[in-house]
Amino acid sequence: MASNQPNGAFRLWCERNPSERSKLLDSAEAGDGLAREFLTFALQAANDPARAINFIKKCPDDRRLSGMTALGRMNYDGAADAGKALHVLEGYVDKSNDDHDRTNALASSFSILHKHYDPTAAERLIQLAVVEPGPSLLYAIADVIWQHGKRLDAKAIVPALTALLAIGPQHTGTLRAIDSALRGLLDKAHVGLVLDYLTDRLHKSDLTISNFESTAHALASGDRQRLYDIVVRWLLSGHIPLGNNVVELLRSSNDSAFEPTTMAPTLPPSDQLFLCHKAIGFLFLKPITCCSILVSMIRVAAKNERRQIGDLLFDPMLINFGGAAREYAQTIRSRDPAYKTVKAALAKSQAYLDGLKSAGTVKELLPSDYQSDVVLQHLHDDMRAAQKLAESKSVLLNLVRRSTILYGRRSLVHVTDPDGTQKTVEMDLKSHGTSIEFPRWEILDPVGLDLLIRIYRAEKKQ
Amino acid sequence: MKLLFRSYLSSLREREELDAILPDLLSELGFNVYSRPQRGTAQAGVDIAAVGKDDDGERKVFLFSVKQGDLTRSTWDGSPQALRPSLNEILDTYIPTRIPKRYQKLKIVICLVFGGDMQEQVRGHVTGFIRRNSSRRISFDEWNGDRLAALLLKGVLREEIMPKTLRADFQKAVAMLDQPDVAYRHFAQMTDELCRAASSDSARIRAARQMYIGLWVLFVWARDSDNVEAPYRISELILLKIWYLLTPYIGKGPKSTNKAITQVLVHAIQLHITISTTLLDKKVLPHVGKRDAIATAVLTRSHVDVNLKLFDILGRLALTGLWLLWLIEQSPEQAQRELAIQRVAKLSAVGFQLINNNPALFLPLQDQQAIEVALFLILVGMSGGNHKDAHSWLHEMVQRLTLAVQTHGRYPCVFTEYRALVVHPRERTDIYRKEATSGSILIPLVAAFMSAFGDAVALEKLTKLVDAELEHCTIQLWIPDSSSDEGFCKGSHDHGVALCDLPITKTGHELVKAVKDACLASKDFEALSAMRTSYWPIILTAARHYRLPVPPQFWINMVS
Repeated sequence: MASNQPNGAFRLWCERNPSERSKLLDSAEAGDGLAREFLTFALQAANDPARAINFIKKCPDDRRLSGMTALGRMNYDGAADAGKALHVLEGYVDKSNDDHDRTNALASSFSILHKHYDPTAAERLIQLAVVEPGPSLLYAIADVIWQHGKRLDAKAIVPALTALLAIGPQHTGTLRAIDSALRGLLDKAHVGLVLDYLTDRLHKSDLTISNFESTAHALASGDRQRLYDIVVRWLLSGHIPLGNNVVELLRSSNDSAFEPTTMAPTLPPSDQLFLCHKAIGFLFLKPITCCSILVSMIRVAAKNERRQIGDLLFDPMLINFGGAAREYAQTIRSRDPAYKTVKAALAKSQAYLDGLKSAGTVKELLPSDYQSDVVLQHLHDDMRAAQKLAESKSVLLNLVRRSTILYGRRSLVHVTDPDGTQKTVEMDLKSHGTSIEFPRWEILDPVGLDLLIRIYRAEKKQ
Repeated sequence: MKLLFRSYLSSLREREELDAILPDLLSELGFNVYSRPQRGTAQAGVDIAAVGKDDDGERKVFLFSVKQGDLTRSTWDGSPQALRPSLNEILDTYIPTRIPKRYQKLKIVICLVFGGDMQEQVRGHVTGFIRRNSSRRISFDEWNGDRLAALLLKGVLREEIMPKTLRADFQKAVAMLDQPDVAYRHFAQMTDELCRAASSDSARIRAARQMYIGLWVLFVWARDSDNVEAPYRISELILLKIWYLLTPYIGKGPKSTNKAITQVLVHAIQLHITISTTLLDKKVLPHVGKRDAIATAVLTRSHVDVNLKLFDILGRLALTGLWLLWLIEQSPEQAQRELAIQRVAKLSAVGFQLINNNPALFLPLQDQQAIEVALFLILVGMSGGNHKDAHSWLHEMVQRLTLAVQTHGRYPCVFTEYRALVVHPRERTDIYRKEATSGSILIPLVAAFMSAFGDAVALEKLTKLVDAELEHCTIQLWIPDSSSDEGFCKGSHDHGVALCDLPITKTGHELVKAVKDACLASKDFEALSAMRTSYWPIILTAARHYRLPVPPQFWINMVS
């Protein structure tokens, strides 16, 4: 760590001056305050496990912690020596010790294991650590999973993650460590454990998936089947906080469909409909994603449920989203098992759209100019507020100088280099924008839409 | 101005439309109209018969045969409905047998009336006919669109009785038809001024006719520009204004004045229904069976516009049905009654189609939209409509109301300003909600009907809501008092009695009893001039137009 760098020179000096180092150790043992501050580095330089163990065993104060830290940083001749050191430290991981001792003992143990890995010892240490851990030890456990997760097996990880379920929103540092740990585990064969942990932890609504930012990003942008599995799992739980986390998980990603090759789980018919209701309830504003979940269920559903899910695809999904969702539905190929049902939903949707146009322009129904002006002004104010908010949160805009080009389609900027030479930077201007499709009922029947979403969100499993 | 009327006359589509204004025009010109247009009765070629002074100053009988539009070869002599056969009937039958005895010694002028022009290819035939059939006693006169427009300006709308400023208001109303708010404002200004200036009996009759004819002109222009919004709103106003002119003569004063204004009122009611059905039958009702079609036709970016327009349309539909029910009461002819009954039943049925296919109608955005809810429930009740549908509608309304209030959603609020509605709910706080729901006429109305339907579930929800989130809300209804007669006419809100703090309970019985007791105790409702004369839809029209609650006397018997 960078904080250790200034002491590197001192450690080197100790290595080169054994007699001075020995005096310092003696002074520390005798209780000298200044010597105690440098004890860790002197012990590390001595690379004398026995002396360090002596401090650990005899001095129930900061010198014990220095001894543990030094023990973790020493070089051992072989696994047997390392095992001896581990054995001493293991005793201090036990619940009979205080939280600081346990934390340092665990951290130092895994420093030793880093060089002399012993899966049995690792499992044993974690088993000891997870018994009544304090906040500091929990951080150390998270750190262990983060730093050593790749070498740990499920027997060690499961109890660690179980212990880490106790972490609350106030432990931001530990949460960051857990997030890093989970993110690391996703790359391994421990995906199931990560999803289990998140599912269990987010069941309580005091944390959301945004507390696990890097894990969430990896889940949302990584393997689509894995994402589908966790979305389905959380929706099927019927638990509202988990449903909200589905929304949170997909918030920053584009509205996109799960591929036709996505494997849907085998579910009882009632669960298939339940899942579709939940998908509509929570992913209504991600219509393509939502429709693709419905379609994935149509693929595996029996005739009766297929018809019912097809009805849901039409109403409320295709009724509300005549743009992207409809385009997605049109991409379903004829060889897809969902094709017939989706086609029927599309036909109903077309009839609905034709019906909408049937009345044409009825001048008597149009809002007055005054009303239109008020609405436009209101929309303008809303959009402006949203833009200002987005700009204030933009990392990029806070770093760069901003130019506002009022006219033209190209810009020429004269820049003076540090050597005084002037050059012209030319830039072609391109338009960029984003669009969002609002559900039709947001205007036609907002209360009904709100009611529908709430009913589906709150629906309980039969 | 003449051009405006000329164009109006040529745009009249039905012969009856010209019939509808001609008697009033003649009356205003000093003619004594003794025979008015009637449907289904043999009139021997005469549509209107009147006695009056000719240009030469001599008193004569004028027999009018009316055709719409230009006089062409086919409308002259191509069918039994053409002008020439009518003129033959007048010569062969009417003059020898139908002229009242007291007028038999007078000379006769047969007037060929048509809103447009006589086409050149037919002029020779007409001239020949007139030459052959003219005599010392019988003469012919051509009343084309130009002549009629001149008569309008010379008669009912002449400058002495309709000053330039009022004419300007009228012209602006016509010019601004595509801005219904503006057109309404100008026309309303004109009617206010006409009513204010009408101090004598004849002036009151004239003012009624002026407003009625003005509305006709406006309607025909609006119909041509495919937007009858302004005339619809104005037609409601005109009914109330004419009623205002009539009230001093109810049960007192000269009977002739009463009769003359009543006649104009009945015509205005028919015109109101015509305007309303022009919109409903052609533009709305054909699409009520299609989901979201009417709501989409509002073409807006705001749910507020959709909600306001849909409830407005529901209110118009209900009021039209109620006026038709009133007409049924007045009609002596069984066949016409049957037809009207069917029409009202259809309106009630399509009203539910409108609701079910445009679900914004399941919850008002404004508490005062309880007026439209009440009007439609009254229509359903009076026309024997489907009570199950009414029950389902209100049940869903209670569910949505509960959710919207509890979640600080788009619940009905007391605000009437459009700007306030657009941002409602401005805040999702208890303080704001308290302000937005300070009073309600919707809740007791719905609760009373739910009590009648025996819907314990909905009543329990309402009770809980009123006991918890709406504990501060003044649950109220409104009944007219002795000053309401004038208030209804003038559009004032400063009259009537508020029944406050009405109980909302799990059975609703206490509410119904409290309202019924209040209705029984008040004699002012039955004493309203519109109730005494059986013109009860006038009160409902006033309630809708001036945004007053519908008096519970109209519906209390449906729920008790």
